[in-house]
Amino acid sequence: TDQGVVAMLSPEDGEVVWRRMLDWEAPFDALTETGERVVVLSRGGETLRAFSAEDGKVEWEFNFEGGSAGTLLGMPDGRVVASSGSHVAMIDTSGNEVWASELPSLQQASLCQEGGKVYVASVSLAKDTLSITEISVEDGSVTNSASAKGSSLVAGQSGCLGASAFALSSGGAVVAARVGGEARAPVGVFDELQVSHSAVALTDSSGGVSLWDGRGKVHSFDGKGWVVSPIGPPGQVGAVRVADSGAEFVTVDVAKKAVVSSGSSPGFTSHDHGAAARVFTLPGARHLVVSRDDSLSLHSEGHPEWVREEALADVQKVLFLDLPKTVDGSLPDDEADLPLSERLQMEMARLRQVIGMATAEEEAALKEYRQRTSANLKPMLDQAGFRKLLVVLSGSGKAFGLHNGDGRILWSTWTAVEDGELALWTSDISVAAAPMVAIVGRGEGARAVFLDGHHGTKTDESALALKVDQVLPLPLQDPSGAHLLLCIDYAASAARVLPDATEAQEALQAVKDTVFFYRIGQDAVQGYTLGAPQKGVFPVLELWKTTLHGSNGVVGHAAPLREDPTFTQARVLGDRSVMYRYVNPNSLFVATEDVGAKDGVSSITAQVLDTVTGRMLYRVEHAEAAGPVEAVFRENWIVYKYWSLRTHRTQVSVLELYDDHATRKDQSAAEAAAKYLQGATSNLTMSSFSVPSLRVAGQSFLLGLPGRPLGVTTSRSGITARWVLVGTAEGQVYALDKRFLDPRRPTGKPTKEDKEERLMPYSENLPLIPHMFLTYGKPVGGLRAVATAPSRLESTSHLLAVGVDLMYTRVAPSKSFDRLEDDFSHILLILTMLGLAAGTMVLYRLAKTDDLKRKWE
Amino acid sequence: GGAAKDHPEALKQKEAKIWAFAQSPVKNVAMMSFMMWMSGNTVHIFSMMSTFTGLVQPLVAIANSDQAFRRFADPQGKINLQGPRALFCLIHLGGFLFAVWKLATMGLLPTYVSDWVSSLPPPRPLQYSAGGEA
Repeated sequence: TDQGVVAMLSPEDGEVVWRRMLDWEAPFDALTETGERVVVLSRGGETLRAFSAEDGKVEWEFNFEGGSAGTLLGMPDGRVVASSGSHVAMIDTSGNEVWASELPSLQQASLCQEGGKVYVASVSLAKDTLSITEISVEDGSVTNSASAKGSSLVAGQSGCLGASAFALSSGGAVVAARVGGEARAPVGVFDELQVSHSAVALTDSSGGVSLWDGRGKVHSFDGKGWVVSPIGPPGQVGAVRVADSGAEFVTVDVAKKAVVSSGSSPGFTSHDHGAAARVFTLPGARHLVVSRDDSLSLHSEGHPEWVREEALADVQKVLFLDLPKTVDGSLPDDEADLPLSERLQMEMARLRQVIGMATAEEEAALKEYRQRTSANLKPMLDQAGFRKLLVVLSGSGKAFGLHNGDGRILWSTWTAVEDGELALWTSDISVAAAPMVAIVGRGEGARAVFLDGHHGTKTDESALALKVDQVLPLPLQDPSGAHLLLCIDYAASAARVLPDATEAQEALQAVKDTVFFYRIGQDAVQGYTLGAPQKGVFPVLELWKTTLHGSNGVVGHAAPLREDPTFTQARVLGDRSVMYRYVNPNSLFVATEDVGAKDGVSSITAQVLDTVTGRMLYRVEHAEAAGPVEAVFRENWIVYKYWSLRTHRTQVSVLELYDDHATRKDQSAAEAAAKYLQGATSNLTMSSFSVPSLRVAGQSFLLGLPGRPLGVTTSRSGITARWVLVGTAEGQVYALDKRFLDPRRPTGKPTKEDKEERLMPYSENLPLIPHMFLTYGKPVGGLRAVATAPSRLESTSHLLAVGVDLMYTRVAPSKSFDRLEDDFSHILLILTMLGLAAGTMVLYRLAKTDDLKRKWE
Repeated sequence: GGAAKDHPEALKQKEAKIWAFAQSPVKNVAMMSFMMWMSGNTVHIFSMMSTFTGLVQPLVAIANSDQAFRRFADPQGKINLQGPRALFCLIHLGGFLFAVWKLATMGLLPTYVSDWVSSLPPPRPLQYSAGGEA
């Protein structure tokens, strides 16, 4: 896959047999298989790796020095011919090089074989030449070659077919070259060229696809949108078209120039999955279709055998929604009506499972029973807010609604909005109506799609009349309850509100003087505001521009989350005095890298800006440090990571911003008591135009593992402690308590006040506590990002880790202080209380009779 | 009989007895104060119990002082009960003040700014800004 994953799927059910992650920062170039092993060329053409076909174990690895983009060819005897840059080499089954040869000016290489000889086709864009070279299999020497001249040949539209090579020139004509014979180029004007294993597929300007081989046209498909398979049974080429009415398959025999087999899958439509992007024909008239929504489906004889939703490996945006209150009329507290006998049976089966003596059908029945009765898996809202619907949007534009109990897909919708923004559109606090989500695209011809959050149905769709560069949420709602979004086109200096109605425009016009937005460029941050609207279009006015110093520009940035609440402004110190935090949601942390001109050593400058005025609030420089810098910014603190060239380790720094003026002045208890009792503490406001003097505390630590901060846990009111979530290179999520990242940690012997404040003595190494790995030893392949959301309880919050795999868990950083454990025995409590009450009554009676007896004596 | 009560000697004896009764809580209060002092500065179950008793007991005694002195009441109204009663209440007030001082040393009195400010919400910003890479 594009994310650097090599996997073997079973054709019967589409389940993964084995999977290997390649270096996921450098995806692969080419893949081929030789019966017993799968050979992959990756890392930009530098590494050739062979995986065993059975279990994916790495059998051998071969390195090309100075390799660049290349391709592979598998020979029938198991050896592999690889090209990387201008090298061509043959590697045998144990990874040893049999021969290597240099073909200067080898670009856009393709490898083919015919009649026991290997052919290399190459397109030289500079010289506009298509050449095909014949190489001997024994020693790699060039035995023959042919070339043809074109006119501005297009990159990526060339290939070889046996001993012939074809390339497409920008005018639409096809150029052909053939070793040992005359080449016959297909006649016509075409837009795209793709070489399959037995024929060349050419797409003309109207979208029609036709197949050609060295002798002439073989077949032409009627209609548009056909995709041709690059592999297939010898001499046959398969093609597929997915339209609104379903999928159609055709297999063409090249020699006979006739359709050999055809079929259709009426249930698989382009409305659900988008058009077909690629297809691979497998033996047995089966076709593996890769659709535009990143789904993988295997079709045979008229229906899809299985569908894999691989868009879940490319999740870009996540939104946590509440589930519906009732589903089909049943409420969450209704227990499934299970007869007592069945419950007893299940308990016996459970006991047997614990011992290890349960049969397979008992295990299956137990699993199904657990599914039916588990509180985690019910599709309705629960009181504590532990069950959530996760709306995830992939880069290709497919939206899923996942249930957080087991990750099952509740709904999926193809929206065709690529790289869109996902925002909550309407929400109902009484949970009576379903929330709606908006998916807004960017670029020219951007569209906005509105989905029902509970069922995934498209309720509305509108085209935006702008070339959208940025989509930003606004703190306004229109009369119908929709959260307004601002779509900005910087090139035209125009902005529009979504929904583009007069009430929304008036609402924005009323507050436009307090709305500001900014754009982070390569070496500067620019701030803007809105002007008076003309016919619904708000002009974008430039307000400020802060140029950041650094030869390498911006290497990292972070902004505080608006919806993340801060409970209190006061930080209580050990001697009962108070430091006032400077919590400014309109601030931005930016890190730039600068390479010294004299000594070539890079340094990182960390800056905090106010995004309303562009004012620099704080700046600190880290010498001998290199980016990239990953940062998280919450409340009044920033945790950021960079590479320290001095210690050759990953270093983490923390900055905390405090209001120095208030900390010095407002320390009188009597004044604070008076203000509190008068009720003058609730409606305080702050303005970015009058920033008080700040006190910034900072400290640096060394991180013990190769990782980067991805997110921070959140909670409903901000009272719970926070964990900084660090994603390791392996894919584990490590939770680092914020108390370790405290700049006030005492460097000397801790005083009584430090102990009162529970500050840990400073140690430069951050601890690595094994049970704080939230992924429990199961790494999330390709971990990219982390999304957190609060639940209705203060102590617990949700966490979704996103990468090639998805991981969900509930975290309680201060342990669950506001709920009882699941196995709390209420019966024991009631019995204890009843026993005490009975004991009290009995003893009271006894004491009274004893007293009376004593009085009579 | 009734004549014996009017005797000035009997009156003086009675007054002495009332004053003695008014001074009787000193022992009790001293014992309570000692118990509070020994219970330490930390907030534990014993110190909480003894401080609570030290706060409540004097207040209850002061409230019931009227009833406690009623049995000494002279039907002819010649004995002044208010003086002894004031001393009685003063001693108990001393005990109460000691308990309040104990509260202060345990840190339970709101005498620091952090007691009033620790749930002060952060001020709401008057401007709104958003953005990112574009």
